[in-house]
Amino acid sequence: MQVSSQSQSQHRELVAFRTADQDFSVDIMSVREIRMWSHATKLPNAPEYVCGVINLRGAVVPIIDLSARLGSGDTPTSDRNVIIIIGIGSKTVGILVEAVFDILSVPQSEIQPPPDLGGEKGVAAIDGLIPRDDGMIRIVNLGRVVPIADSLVN
Amino acid sequence: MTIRVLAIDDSRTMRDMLYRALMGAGFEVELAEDGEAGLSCMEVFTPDIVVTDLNMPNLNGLQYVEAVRGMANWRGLPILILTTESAAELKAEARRVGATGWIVKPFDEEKLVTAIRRLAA
Amino acid sequence: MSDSDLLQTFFQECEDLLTLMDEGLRELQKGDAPDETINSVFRSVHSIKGGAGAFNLSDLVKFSHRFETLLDELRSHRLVLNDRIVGTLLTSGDYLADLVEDASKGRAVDEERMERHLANFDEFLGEENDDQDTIVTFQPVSLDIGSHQKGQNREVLIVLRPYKSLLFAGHEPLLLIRGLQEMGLVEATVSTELLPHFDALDLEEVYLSWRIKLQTDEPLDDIWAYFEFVKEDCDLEITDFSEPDLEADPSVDLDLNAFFQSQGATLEIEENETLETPKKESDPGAESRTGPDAASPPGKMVKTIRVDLSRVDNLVNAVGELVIQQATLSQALKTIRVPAGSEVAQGLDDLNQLSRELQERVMSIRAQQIRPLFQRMFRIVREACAATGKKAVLETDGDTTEVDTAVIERLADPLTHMLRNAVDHGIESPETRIASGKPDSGTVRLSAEHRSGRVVITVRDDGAGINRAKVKQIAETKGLIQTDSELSDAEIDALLFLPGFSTATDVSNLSGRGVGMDVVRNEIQSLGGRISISSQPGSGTQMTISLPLTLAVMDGMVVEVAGQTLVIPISAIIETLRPADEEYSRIGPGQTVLSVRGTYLPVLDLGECLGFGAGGDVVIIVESDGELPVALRVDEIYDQRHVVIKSLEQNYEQIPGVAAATVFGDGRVALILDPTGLIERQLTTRGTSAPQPQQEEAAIAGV
Repeated sequence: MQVSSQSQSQHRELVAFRTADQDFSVDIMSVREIRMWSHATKLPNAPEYVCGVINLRGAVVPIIDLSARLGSGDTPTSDRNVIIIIGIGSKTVGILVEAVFDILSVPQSEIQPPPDLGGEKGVAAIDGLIPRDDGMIRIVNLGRVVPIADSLVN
Repeated sequence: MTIRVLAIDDSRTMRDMLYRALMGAGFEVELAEDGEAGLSCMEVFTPDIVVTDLNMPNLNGLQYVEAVRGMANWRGLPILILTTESAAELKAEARRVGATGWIVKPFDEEKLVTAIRRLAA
Repeated sequence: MSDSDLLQTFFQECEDLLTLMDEGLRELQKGDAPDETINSVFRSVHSIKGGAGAFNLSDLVKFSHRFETLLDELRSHRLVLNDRIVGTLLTSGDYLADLVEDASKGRAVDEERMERHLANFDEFLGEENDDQDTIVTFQPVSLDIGSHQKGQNREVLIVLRPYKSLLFAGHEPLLLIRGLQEMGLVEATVSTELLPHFDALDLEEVYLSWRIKLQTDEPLDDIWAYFEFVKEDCDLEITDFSEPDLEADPSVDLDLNAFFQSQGATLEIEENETLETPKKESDPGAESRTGPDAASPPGKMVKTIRVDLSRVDNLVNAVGELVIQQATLSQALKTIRVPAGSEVAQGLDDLNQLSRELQERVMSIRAQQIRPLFQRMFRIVREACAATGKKAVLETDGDTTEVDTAVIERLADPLTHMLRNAVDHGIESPETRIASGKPDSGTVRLSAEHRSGRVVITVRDDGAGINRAKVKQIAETKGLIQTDSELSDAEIDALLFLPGFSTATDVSNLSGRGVGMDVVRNEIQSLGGRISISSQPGSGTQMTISLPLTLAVMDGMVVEVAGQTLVIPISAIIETLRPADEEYSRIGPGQTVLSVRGTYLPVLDLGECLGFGAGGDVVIIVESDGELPVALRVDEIYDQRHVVIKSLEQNYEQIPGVAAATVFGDGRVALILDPTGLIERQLTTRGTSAPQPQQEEAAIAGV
């Protein structure tokens, strides 16, 4: 099934958000909804970056603290924190961030590839950069960030 | 997507009538006999809208609405009160706890169906 | 369901309601007048009225309405019960029953008698005022000062500025505006001028407003009526911009008309407008409402119906097909690499989710307790004993474990065979047993439980265990294995599952039938399950069947541990205690035991095992795979509940020690523990200072 059409390859639609003092964005098509922070039930012996699970209309959905996941420490607790519910493969996962601030439509040509990390063991969580006057917006690779990505995501 | 309706009433006759009317309108219907049963029903059947009576044992209509409004994950669920009562204080109370609207019994099938279609996506 | 069916149902229900009412009235007569009794009588009469209204049984409505009013006064304590009132209630109750009977037989009502009974209420309620209690809908009545009748097309401007409370009450502006299309042509423009920057956005506040132009020939009253539910939760202006047709209605007072038009409003008179519109608090959707009275339904049963099992079977089959098709589709699409996030991928996810959900739901229709199946096994064991001359007793456990009906049926044969085997090959002859110091009668234990998301059924006997030497020899003789091959104990045990294996030298009335363990295994595998065997020479043999859990409910004990609420499956709990400090003894670093009736049980702090913090003083003793039960320390035990099992693996992954999750009535998620799994894991990682967090992938680098 050929999916590439002129218009599709020309722009990327993204939801931009801020957390850990940096700007990020994710593909808008993977965003299911955006919710206020709500209490998450802790999971035993879970990695630091897993806040717990919440009840989303009957389904149990894990919440990942993006800041912690990227090694920038836990997101400070605040009522204004936001959970971005994303669909990844067959799973629904929530990402905890500080604030959503924009919806972008960025021409493919503007997006720069992520810097080469050389021989580091680390796997890049970012698969693109959007330069802006006041910094850059990192495009997050959800498959890398969410621990249990489905194989449907290439 | 078919609209899923949860209908709560302690009268068997009422439940039968609601079932017939709502199924006839092409909705998916689940029934419960009081507020408490309604709440447990919601754990397995996710309604798009709830129609509930006021006077019921265990958990009455107002208490049910209050309980649902207190649950973050059911935010925005439309709840219609179905009642014979027309007292103003009751309506104010219903509004205060967050009921979406009310239909008076004996209910006009068409009105109920229209109201449901208007309120539920 | 025809109308006459419904009427039948109604009269049947009336019978029940009248009986209830009667009981209540008798209580009141005795002098017992607790609120609940009055409420119950009220509800009965109220329900009769409601139904009567639906069927237009006006006499019944009229009387029950008045009756209900008296009861209402009583239940809200505006009237206090006394002998006279009780007297009236009793006669009214009797008359109500008569009226119901008249209605059911289609008999005309004696007007005089009705009047007399109605008059009885006057003493307490005053004269009946007809308008007060008529059933009306709350509708604004607009003063007709020239707003036109239907038929004249006009342009109406509606300005809608919703408050937060509109959304809180479950209204959706989009649907509200869309619905207007029923009345005519709609053109809506949204205003985002109040929308602040994302940073300052309060996600629960409404910053949008709409100007809606509606081309319609509906009268303004109807448009106002359309918004009746939301009027108080928004700023609403409805203005008619058409020119008043003065020629057509010369009686219109021009000045008044112009005055109102310039105000951009329609005058309306609302009925009984005595209520104050309460100011909405800043956060009506308070999140932490966890009051036990409102929030925890004890799994009350919903209305049940009888259905032909064959219909359910067909449904299950159809759903099974659906799931297979969906999986096939999913596979096929993987090969053409659908881009993530595309509609197809999204649709596929949703489909996956839906079919899984559907399967769960449909399966739970057929779930039933395994008890009847277990009951049948007692006879099997008795017969086996008689046929082999052995002595053995069957004990069962976990009878209430719920399993899908179809699965139960197909378990009958395998279980029968396993039990026969246990008696025939497992249990020794009475003489042999006595010689080895065992009681002459053996015990076969049959148990079932939900564990770690599966149904686990075990058959355990206290016989001689597997004679491994003999088994190996037989296998060699039959050419199933190479002579002199090195095999571990477990491998030898597993030889029993090979086709063609049977201890043919031991032909008895039972095993002569030629059904081998391989047939049993095939059957179990065809159910999607696994079977394993373990044995200890001299002590006995255990066969364990593990089947997928296709059900959605379970009985659990709600507990608190280090501030977290968890559910422990009832089937795993032996007992609960509150020991005093002195009853614990430390026997090593990080190892504590608890003395329970002379036995020392290992103690595990559940809070620490789960990484939540230290547990408390309440102890729950649970079964473990090991020799002894284990004592788990928790903070508090709450109540026992029927919980709905939600998958954790669906969106996350399997966590050792955690079977699944559940959602309580108040929306909170709670984990369902797998005690045996937890204990096993804990005891094997003992020696390390802290429980190991799950293995992390290579650290990812942010930029």
